[in-house]
Amino acid sequence: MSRHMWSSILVIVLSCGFMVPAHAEDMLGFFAGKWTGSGFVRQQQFGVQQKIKCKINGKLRQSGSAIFAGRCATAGKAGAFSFEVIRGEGEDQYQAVASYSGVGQPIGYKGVELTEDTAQSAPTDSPVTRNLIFTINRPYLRDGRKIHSLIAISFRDQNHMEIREMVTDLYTNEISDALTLQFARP
Amino acid sequence: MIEHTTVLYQQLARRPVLCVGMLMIVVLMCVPGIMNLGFDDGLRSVFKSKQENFIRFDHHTGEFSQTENDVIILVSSKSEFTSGQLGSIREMVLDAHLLDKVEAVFSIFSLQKINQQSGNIEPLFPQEFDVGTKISGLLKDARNMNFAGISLLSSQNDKTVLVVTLDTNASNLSIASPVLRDLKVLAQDLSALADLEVELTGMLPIRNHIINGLKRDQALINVIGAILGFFASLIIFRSVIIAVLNGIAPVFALYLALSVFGYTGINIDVVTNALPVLLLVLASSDCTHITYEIRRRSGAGEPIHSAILASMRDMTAPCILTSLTTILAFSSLYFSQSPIIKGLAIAGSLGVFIALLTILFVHPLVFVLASRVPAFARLISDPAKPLMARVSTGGLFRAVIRRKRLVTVAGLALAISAFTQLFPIQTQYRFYENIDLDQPIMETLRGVEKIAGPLSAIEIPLYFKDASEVFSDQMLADIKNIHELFEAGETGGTVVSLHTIIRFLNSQNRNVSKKTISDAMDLLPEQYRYRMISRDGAAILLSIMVADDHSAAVRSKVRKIQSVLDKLSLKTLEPGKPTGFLEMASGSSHYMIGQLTISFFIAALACSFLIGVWYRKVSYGLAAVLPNVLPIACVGAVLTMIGADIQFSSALALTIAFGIAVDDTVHVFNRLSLEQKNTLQLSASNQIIAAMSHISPALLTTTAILTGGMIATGFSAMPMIRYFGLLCAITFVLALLCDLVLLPAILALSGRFSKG
Repeated sequence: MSRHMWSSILVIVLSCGFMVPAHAEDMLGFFAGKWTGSGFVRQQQFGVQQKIKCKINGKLRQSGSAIFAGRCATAGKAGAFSFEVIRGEGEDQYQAVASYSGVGQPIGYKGVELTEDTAQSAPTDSPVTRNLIFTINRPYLRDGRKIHSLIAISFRDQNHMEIREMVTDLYTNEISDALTLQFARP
Repeated sequence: MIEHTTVLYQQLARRPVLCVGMLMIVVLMCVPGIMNLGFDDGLRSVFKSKQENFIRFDHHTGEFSQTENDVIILVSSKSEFTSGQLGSIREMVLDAHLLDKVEAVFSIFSLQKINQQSGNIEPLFPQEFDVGTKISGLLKDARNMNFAGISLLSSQNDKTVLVVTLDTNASNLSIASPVLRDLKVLAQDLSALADLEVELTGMLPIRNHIINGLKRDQALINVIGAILGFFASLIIFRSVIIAVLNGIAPVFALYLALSVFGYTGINIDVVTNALPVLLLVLASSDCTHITYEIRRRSGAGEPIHSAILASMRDMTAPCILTSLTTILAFSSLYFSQSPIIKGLAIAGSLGVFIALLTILFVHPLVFVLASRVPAFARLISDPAKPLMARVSTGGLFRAVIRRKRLVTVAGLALAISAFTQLFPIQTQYRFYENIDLDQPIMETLRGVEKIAGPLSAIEIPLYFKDASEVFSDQMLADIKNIHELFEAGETGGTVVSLHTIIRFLNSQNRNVSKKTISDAMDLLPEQYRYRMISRDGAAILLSIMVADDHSAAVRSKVRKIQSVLDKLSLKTLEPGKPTGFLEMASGSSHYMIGQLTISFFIAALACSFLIGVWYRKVSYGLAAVLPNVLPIACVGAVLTMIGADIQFSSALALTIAFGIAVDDTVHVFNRLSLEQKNTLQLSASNQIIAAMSHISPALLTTTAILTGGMIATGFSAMPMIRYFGLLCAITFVLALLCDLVLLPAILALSGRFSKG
């Protein structure tokens, strides 16, 4: 095979890569690997903010899910948690199960991928932020509150991720930014 | 058997190159064993037994979590902490939380306050330490907030204590070591970043420190032991070459023994640490007897090969017997219930056996090979007498034998009076006896105790009589009563219990109820919660914090606590017996040191029996008792008189030293037997004098080597090993004196028996 032919194949392959829409990539693949993060968490979700640091490891499972498990700590306490993301029925649909050490039953979420429209009009070298928005399947009771939770996971690129959790006390309609965490690859 | 060994030595003399080839193969095969040699402090398993204190403690550790996996960090500033420094310390706490195997970190940042307006529980310290933050006020609040019963801040607000608790698997040091390394890195980073002094201490770092000491000791003590042995040989034989030749087999024996330990999984721990150097000097001692005999014979004109064969023929039997008596002494330790003392029994017996094989095979081979070099051959058959051979001892033995009754009776009276002083055995044990108190890690521990109070505790489980009484008003009244009773009692010190939490709630103006107590307990990390309430919720714990003291003092405190408990009548709680590591160690150590005393008597009886059977003379067996028991009794009595009492190290040293001290007696019997065969015309007394005159230079020489070798333990990082070495050395010298003075008197007195 001539050198020109090799060059042509290379150009075609590279071009195809550029033509693939971002949302068609496997979103679960973003979770894989080690992450370290820091941010703020509210004590008992509605209390004062405290610094938090986390160290987590993401793994892809053969069943087509991604498990995201690790350990987070405030200055006073630390605990393990896991967050398993499972592909849903629709193209952009997901489900998730969150478990926290020392906190009762695992909590189920359903989610959807939302890719920022603004990315289309952004300069070509600007990364496209990809978001996974999860809402809780069934509100739960804690400390006399009925909690509804919404978790947003955003990937600015393969190496940066942000997790935010907003909770609402359905009894009082009080809303709280319970958790904000910025992650990067170590 | 001796005839078979003669054939072996003839083969060895004929085919030395083949033998060297075989040795080289063995050397290569030993390398993986040496690489596999493991180190373990053994402190966790030392008391494992069926003894009551241990069983109670074992059950207790299942109910309540223990402090053995705590790493304590002392952070010190030159003056009161600044907001920047506090921010940096908090970052370190966060990072420490995220290390693998770290279960919880308890620090001033764990402290919570109750917001009087909202009623919410909040961290005491703000999220950010801004310039305007009133640090002094916050630190004062933190100091006064005695939430979990221990203070975390110094009165000058310039020192703080962080408690990092590792998970239960981390009690295995191979798992904990990487975490300790990471914590040290965090400590160094904090120190560099915030101009703070950051030091680690606590049970795990101390155990890690001991392991590092063990590794250092193995490299250092054995080299120093070998060098001291070489110099002792050099002085005695007055030849560098002979001293080197004399040292080859012992070094090889040590190498082989360590390799076998590596292969068989025998670890070097706090009790087996001194074993390698002991094997080295034991092998050196036997080699010296053989070298001495070879040189004596070749110096008298016998051809070297013939001198080697004849020496080995004469010395094989005593070498085997001396090894057997030492093996018996080590084996007697197997009577102990302690796994690490059983381990020493196995390692010691195996090591001595390996050393024996090495001496009988390698030492003659060394001389056979050396004799092929003319210059060396000349040195071996050098007519110059060894140094000790110039010492004339005949007069001493004649004088002793003339006063044989007086000497024997005096020896017996001394032994009886020493035993009277020694019994009943007073034992002593301290957990930190394996580390020097002036080590930085111990100074840090004392610094921590100045802030947080004593870290050791005598623990009393209080079982709920009725599950419905958990946190009931009556139960709270009961725990208050017992808490305050011990706080005010003569056992003194800080008391930590559920009542500590209740006091905290009262200080925060919170009403004390089942819910508020549960909420407050939830604030504690799980491991700390289970230090107050049992895992199954069936009991609560009352801890009387006491300084790490001698076992006798702890036992006395426990007795006082028990007498208070006996008089106590609580409606909702049933007190269990006092326990905890301190109580268990003080009780078990007393029991186990007592067991070692029994081991000693087993060794004494078994060695005497073996000697009697070996020589087929009851008189030899009986004669061996007093000269070897007397030094042990004297050392034990002096230790009791000066208040040092009998510790693990002393009990082990006296038992093992007995087994080694008997070796000299065996060499005397061996020489006497040879004299009895060769000088039938002499009277029994003259035969004893001839035998003693012949053997005493060798006894002086081997005692010098043994004592010199044990002096090498003076370079150990561990005080108990140094103590062990010192006691062994003193016992060897006393045993030599007894062999030179008491033994000939006893032999002369029992002359008519020995003829039979």
